[in-house]
Amino acid sequence: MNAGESGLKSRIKRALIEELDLRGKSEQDIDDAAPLFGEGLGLDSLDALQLAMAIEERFGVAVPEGEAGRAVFASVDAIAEFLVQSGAAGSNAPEAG
Amino acid sequence: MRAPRIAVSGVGLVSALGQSAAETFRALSSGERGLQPLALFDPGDVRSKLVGEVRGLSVADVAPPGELERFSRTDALAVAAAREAFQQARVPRGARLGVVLGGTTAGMFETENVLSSPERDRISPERAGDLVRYPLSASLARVAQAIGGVSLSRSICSACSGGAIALVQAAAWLTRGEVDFVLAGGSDGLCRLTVLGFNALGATDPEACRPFDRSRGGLNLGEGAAVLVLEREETARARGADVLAWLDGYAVGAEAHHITHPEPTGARAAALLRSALTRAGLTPEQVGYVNAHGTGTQQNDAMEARALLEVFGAGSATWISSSKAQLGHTLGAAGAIEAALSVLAIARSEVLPGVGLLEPELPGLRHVGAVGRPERLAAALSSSFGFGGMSCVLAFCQRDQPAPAPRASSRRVALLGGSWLGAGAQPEKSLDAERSRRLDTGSALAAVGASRLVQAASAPTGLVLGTAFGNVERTMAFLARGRERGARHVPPAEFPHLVPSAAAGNASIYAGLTGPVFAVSDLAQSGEAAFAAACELVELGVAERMLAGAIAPRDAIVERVLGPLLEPEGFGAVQRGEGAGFTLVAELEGARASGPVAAELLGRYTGELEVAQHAELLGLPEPGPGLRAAVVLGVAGAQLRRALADSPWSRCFVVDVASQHGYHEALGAIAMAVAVELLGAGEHERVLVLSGAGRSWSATLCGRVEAGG
Repeated sequence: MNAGESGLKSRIKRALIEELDLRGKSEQDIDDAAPLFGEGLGLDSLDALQLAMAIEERFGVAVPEGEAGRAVFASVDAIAEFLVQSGAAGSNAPEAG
Repeated sequence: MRAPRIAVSGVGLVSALGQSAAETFRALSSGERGLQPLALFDPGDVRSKLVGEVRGLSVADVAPPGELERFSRTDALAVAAAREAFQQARVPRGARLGVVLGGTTAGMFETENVLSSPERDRISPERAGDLVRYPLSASLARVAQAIGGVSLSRSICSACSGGAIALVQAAAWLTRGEVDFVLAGGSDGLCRLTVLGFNALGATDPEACRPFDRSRGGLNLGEGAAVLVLEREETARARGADVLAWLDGYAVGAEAHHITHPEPTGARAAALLRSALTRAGLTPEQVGYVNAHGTGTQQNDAMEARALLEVFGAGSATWISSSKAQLGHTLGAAGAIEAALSVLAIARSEVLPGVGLLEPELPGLRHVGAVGRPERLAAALSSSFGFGGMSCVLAFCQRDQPAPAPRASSRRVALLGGSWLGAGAQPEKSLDAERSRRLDTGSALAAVGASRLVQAASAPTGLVLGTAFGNVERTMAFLARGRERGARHVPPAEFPHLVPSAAAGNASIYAGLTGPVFAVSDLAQSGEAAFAAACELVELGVAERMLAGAIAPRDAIVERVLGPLLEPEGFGAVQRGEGAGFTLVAELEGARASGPVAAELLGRYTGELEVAQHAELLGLPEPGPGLRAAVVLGVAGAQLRRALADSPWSRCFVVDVASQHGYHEALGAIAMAVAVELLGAGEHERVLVLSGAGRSWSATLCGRVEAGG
């Protein structure tokens, strides 16, 4: 993993922790490949909506609705890949508070 | 004593399809839709602007002279519906009247500009007048003023079922004989908060909604109000009132599942439908019509269709429709509007259409087509399923239907335990981190209180939670974000936590409470109102075990701007505080069967302050050498202390809760919890709890239950 990729995943995990109010969790607790919804982190569709809004805000990309959107949020790896493909990975979009 | 049968003798209704019940019913019956692009305000870039707006509503026409500034849109809807119902029922002058209203938004439309403005951090006390319409209980005052003669009032929030639960509350008051007539209903006006919120959740349909259709795409919001006049059968017969229908059955419960998702199997909803039928003495075959919740969202309608199929069976003759396809989802008003429509369906022998439905979610249910149809109905149900799983089903019977089997009018109430949290309690720290995500301090206080008093394995328990306000700071942040960044940028997961009943729903989910769950709001007396409502449900036999509590989390806006409005007379030097109090109550005989019971409720009085008069009303023996009694003061009012000084209770052991906790809206709830603990400790045989504010005071007498007594 190169430094850019690791930095991107770190930003994604920070977004997850802050936006989904994952109390007591740190970046180390979130596995890059583990599923975010159902098993794994145990997130639900309300979290998916929140995450979609947060990713759009923080990375300046549009997340597709419906099934395609759900695939984007399968894991931290999947979100990173989506952001790289969308050309948003190196974006310096301001982070939302 | 037998419980009286409850008559509906008046209906008032304001909706997108008309400014009277008759006008609305006629338009609904013809299949008309009241959905149009939102004109009241510009919501910005949202998924759906199609709403059921009450066009042509003039707040100025409804408000009495000089009162316009205090009137919100929600108030105007409520007053218009109340006047219509009151006139139709021909309520006699001087009658003892109660008012109970469900709602979620109150004066949000009028206050959200202040709340989201860039100057929101510097709202001056002078602008408090702008926020006076904010609390949920504001509409009660407007209705009481417009109608006159109101001696008892309560506001109820359970997200989208509050308007239905209001009718159950009315039945409880009438059964207790506290009043002779109750104006019961719900009112909710459109506002940015709900339009942005439901759109952010992706719950709205850009097209006209299609409840129970397989290809449905969500709900359309609406606004409106309905108020029903309820009275005892004896009163109605004695004055020759025209009975429209009987409110013979009702059931209130919670799913304890998720803050926005319904429990998918429909099992809890089916159980609630059955429970309402049982109370009304009805078989499913006798029910000719169900005016369903049917929001048009994927999840609600799938759950509800399963529940209806489970209860009525495939091929049943019971007609089903949802009026939300024509009126939009009117949130806290919906339960009342649909109750009113069910009553009118019975009275007019006509079932209402299910507009927009082409291919049903489940085969086997008998959906009404695109227009209404004549049908003589022996009984009809109206069901409401709110966010946070807070649900209510009402069963109405045609006026010639025989009454259900008689039941006792009142049951004794055991006081099983009390618990409270004071300033700096940090409730978040005693909750499971994963399961308490997004819970604010108010929700955390409620979740901790519920968890302390209710064990997971115990009998189904409900919760009435007093909340004077929702989370004002969090609501402001949500609105400000919408204003500053645009409608698409509001945080969806925040929205369900902004309804005033969020803390009740969150506590129910956290602690697994499946009995009746809702919030009541009565400003400084929210704790007292919650305790009264919880006891009334137990006395009425709607619940077996209930938690009664109130929360007063610290909130900067409330402290600075709204707090002074709540300050009771003679309040003086006591600091404002924060905290929460909870009492577990249960039906006495049932509670005894499962364990020792230390204390019971002996009497309650709410009204103007006169302690000697309280004692008389409650039938109290004067505390003397033979009776070890104590007084718990849930307020630090000088007036209360003066009144106490003239009574025999002045010689008792006195616990002054306010001096320990500071003044806040949950103080009455803490006082109640302290009283129950005092009795449990065995030092005292009687405890009198005094609390209240303004012109409304509560006296509650509790006593030890002697073994075998």
